[in-house]
Amino acid sequence: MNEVALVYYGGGTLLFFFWVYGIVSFVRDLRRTYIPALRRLAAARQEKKEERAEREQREERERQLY
Amino acid sequence: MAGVTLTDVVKQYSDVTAVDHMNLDIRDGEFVTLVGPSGCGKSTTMETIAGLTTVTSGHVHIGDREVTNLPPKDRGIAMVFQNIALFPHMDVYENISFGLRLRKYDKDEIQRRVEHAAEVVQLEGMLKRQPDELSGGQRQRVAIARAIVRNPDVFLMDEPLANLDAKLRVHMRTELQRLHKQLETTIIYVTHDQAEAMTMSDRIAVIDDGQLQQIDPPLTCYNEPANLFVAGFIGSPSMNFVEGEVTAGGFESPRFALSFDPADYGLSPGQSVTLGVRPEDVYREADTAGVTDPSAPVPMRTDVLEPMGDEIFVHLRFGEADETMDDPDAGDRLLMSVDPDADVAEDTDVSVLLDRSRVHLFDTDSEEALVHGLSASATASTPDPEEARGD
Repeated sequence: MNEVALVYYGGGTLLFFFWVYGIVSFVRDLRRTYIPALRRLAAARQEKKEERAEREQREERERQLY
Repeated sequence: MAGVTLTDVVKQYSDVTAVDHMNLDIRDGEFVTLVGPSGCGKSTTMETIAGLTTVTSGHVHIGDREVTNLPPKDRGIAMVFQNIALFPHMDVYENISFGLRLRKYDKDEIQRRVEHAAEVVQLEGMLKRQPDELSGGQRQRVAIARAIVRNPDVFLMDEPLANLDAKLRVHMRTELQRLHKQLETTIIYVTHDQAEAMTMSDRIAVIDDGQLQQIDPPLTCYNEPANLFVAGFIGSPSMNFVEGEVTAGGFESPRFALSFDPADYGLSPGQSVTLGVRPEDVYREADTAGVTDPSAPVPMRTDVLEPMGDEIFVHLRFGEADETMDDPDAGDRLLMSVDPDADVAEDTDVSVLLDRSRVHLFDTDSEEALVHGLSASATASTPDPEEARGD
């Protein structure tokens, strides 16, 4: 194997390693960070929505007593 | 007009029981105050009557109608809230007539009712003003007028005076009494201020931990409290409590004793009891005018004086016996109320006695009242502290 081939395959292997590393890291971040964060955001929005509905219902009931 | 009945009402919030098997029977035209410390469940009880919250179990009746599952508008009630809640963009007339306009009342009828309500709460001539042009008391009167125009069967008032200053609060108390006399409608009032409860109510319902402790006229709650909680909560300053036990000769504590025949009161020797006496029923030996049945004098020492203007509160310690106590703060002090011109000073020896006819005994374990007032025949004595401790 001449020097050119060594550099070619060595460089390719290095690039392949970081390509795979990037994909694995992204999948891991997706599972550990992004998806839980999105779920929390959705839950918080739902909770706020329910609180608002509850508050509006309470205000409506209070108005019935005015 | 109608009475209100709560039958075994429970309100549960996840792991907290806000109202615990509440049974209340409020008569038609009665002014009943729900009173208790913050978080005791009095506002939640009122909200179950108002329909602002649904009950977990139990039944609510207004008059002869069951309203447990009815919305607030169908219950025939009007409510005045602590935060007043006037619409800032509406003038007084529009605020008062809001409920009627919502229910599509005739214009002339609305005007007639608003003018009548304004007259009742003395707001004539202010109907065109905006809420921000009114004082706190006037705003509260608008909220009350808004309730009056509805001509409800029952008025509910949730701490309506809590946001007013002390002077205005006293004034509004008399206004509400006058209003009740004039309208003769059932009023249920929530407060944590026992002065409001005592002065305005036909009966007060004392609530603690979601449970009804006692419902009786104010003076009955004051003079014959059902248990230690009511005794300690009603009255300012609080009742003095001294823990001890029943002996063959009467009551005995490490500090003093009162002699009586336990059998006369259905008590048995060895029973743990707590003696309660109000500060105004503790007297200096030198000043016993008006005491119908004094106990034997007990030597004490004055600690701190609190001059209130119309009376002085004197904090008393049980003399040198302090040094012999494991816990000098536990039941070893008494509060006495004396006239403002009384000759008292801090850190002086004083001999005090109790009005036996005003002494209460409570079961220490169950906290239920056992005796209200001892009869005149027996005498009191101060035991040897060593003997009293059983040494």
